[in-house]
Amino acid sequence: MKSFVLFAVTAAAIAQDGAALFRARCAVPYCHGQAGSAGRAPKLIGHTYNSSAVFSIVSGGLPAKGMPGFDRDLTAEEIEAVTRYVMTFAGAGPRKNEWGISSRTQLTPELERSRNLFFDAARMNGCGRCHEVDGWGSKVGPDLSRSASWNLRGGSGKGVVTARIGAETFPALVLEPGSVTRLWDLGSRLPVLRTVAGADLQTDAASRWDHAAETRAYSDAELQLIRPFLQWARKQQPDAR
Amino acid sequence: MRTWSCLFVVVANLLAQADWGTHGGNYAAWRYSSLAQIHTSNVGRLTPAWSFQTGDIEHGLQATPIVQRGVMYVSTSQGWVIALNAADGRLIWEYRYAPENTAVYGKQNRGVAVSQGMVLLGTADNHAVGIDAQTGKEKWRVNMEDTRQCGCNITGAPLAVKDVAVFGVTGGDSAHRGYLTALNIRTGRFHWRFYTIPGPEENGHETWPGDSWRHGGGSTWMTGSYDAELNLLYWGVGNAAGDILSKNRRGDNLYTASVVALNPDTGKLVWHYQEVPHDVWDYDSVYELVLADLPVAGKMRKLLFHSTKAGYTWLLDRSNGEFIKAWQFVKHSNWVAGITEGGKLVGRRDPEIGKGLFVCPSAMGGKSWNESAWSPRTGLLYLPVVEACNDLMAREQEPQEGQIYIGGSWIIKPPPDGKIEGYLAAFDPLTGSRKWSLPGKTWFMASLLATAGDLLFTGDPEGNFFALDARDGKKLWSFQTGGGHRGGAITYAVNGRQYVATPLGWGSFLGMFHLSIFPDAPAPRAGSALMVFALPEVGQ
Repeated sequence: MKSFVLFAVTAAAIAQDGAALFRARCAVPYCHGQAGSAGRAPKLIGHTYNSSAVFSIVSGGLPAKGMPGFDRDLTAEEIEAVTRYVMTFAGAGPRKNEWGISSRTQLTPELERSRNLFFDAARMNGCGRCHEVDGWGSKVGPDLSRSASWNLRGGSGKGVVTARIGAETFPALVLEPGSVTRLWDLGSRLPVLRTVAGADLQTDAASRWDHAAETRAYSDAELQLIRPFLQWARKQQPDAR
Repeated sequence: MRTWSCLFVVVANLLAQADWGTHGGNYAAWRYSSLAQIHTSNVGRLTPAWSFQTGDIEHGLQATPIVQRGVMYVSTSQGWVIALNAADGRLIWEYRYAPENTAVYGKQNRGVAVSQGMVLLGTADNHAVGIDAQTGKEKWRVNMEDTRQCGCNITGAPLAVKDVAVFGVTGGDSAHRGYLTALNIRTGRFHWRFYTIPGPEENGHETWPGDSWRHGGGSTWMTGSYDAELNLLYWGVGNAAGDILSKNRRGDNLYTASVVALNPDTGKLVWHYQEVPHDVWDYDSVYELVLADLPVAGKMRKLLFHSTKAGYTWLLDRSNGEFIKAWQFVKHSNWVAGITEGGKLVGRRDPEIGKGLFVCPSAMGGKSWNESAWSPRTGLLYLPVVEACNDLMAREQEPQEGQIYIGGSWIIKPPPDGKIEGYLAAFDPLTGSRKWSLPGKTWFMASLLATAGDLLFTGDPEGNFFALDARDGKKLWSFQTGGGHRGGAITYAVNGRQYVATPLGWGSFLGMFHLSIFPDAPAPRAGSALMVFALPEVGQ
């Protein structure tokens, strides 16, 4: 409470009204938190704001982000007071995105469908389970935006070996061989990054691992629909431009 | 029937004796220990034995520690896991997870599971991690779903059942479809995933129009229970999303705001009971599920008590999901006029688009996630109750994968009698009659601990850790620890000496809202520490 009081005292008188409004409407637990310190919505402290943008966001909301508009609840004067209060936050904290959420690149509807298929949550995130593209997914398999052509069904299988630890045998991608070895265990529907003692591990370059089995949730036609997103991702690479 | 229930009690007591082996003290989520060295007559002599600072103070220490064979395992908000000698607090090992990303549900961690020589951790960036309990070295990690895509993560403690560790997920206020995931404890390999929202061609899918099933919430952010005899895993499922906006998801919205019972070997649904069909109030049903055997109408029943945000405790038959009763534990409730003897909600008050509606309890819940305790000795269920209301207003919103999807707003308001308050209350779980209550200076946000010494322990935001007589609520002992309480106290024994341990250090989202609710109260103190108490050793 102390820091909050100090903060309000140093702000302009009008901002104090804004502070009270902010406390009642914006500081609720799912939203911006005490004095903009962040709830589930982004931290407001520590960013540089344009006051007219803040005014319009408080008024009309950001429907895509779940931020409600307050033009029906508050008068224009009250929204102005909240805006002034929010403007007092600039420089009051570390300048970083609290949540680290990357906003998605806007794509054409066709590419959007292609991307959605690639990361399909209804297929346990589809290709994204093993491939990171454009900021989503896991870096298990190769970076597909570095290729110019793709064997979407068969994959390359490059680097996949047969690993043996005691009685266990499984397909694996070895990352860091040594006395302590990190490897991807591909014998699981969700790949497992395992750390094993190098002395316990035996590998065989031959592997029966099959990318076609990993992609069976997609029909051939669906795999073709994924291709445009990968072509787009390829074009985003500096060396492809 | 009686033999079985006795056996169940015996097994549960054996588990609780000496160790605090699982998140809820036993698989039945009792938060009760059969240890009775510390009791109502000597608790006044309880004195600090040791303390430990984790050093990770963001969001406080919300975890419930685990103690097995004299070793305490505790996890911090960022996902550090610390193993300590439970008798003197000496550090055995420390593992520091560093989350790469965070979902809007933040860096919060409510505990680990320990089984088969492994410590199981869920992380703020939605990974599951298996750590060697002897050495503290990571053996495996699994990305459950990219947190940047799903906007979800793990804050709850996993539950280890037989060969698998079961992990829940947040995401109930986002455009996300919730699930439980079971991984092999030793290898991290995938065993099964149960989606809380049925997909196309599954039973219950018809309760979701169009594509609403893809982002309908149904998170599983707290920890379930397990009945070994019935081989059933019980888990509470959270609210439907968008939380307040109903127009995109007309229908019951299975299995949101429900209890689900799964076969832990396969992840297949055995039964479900939906407490709040078509939830529009953000009434998560994710909280602890207390399993006990008690006579109902002269017949022993295998019961499950479930006290939720909605301000009711549901009593179900845990063998088949049959509704037995629901009783109101809050004083202020107007979201429904009542619940019939058959379990139907009557007199629903649903928020509308663009119109405020005064609803009690609030979306914070008639109880927050801090867990209840059940004492088989007193036969009482102890609940941390919150009396608060809110103005709910639905708003148009289109879901975007992984982004917050609330579909409205809520403004916390005091109840009609003018005061937001929190208190501890003891209830007869069969009738709902309140035996005693203890008002808080503000409210109670730490989990409760009951013991066979007829004691009830918990802490408050003001820093006090205290013991009550579990029979009448009389305060017998209190200690100012210096930090606000939001974690889970436990008790255990090492070499015949009983200890009571409490996490301390204020945190959580609701914690950040404390000053808005209680502007005249002192700010709860942050921190992240364990403080452990015992009776003075003989000869001292």
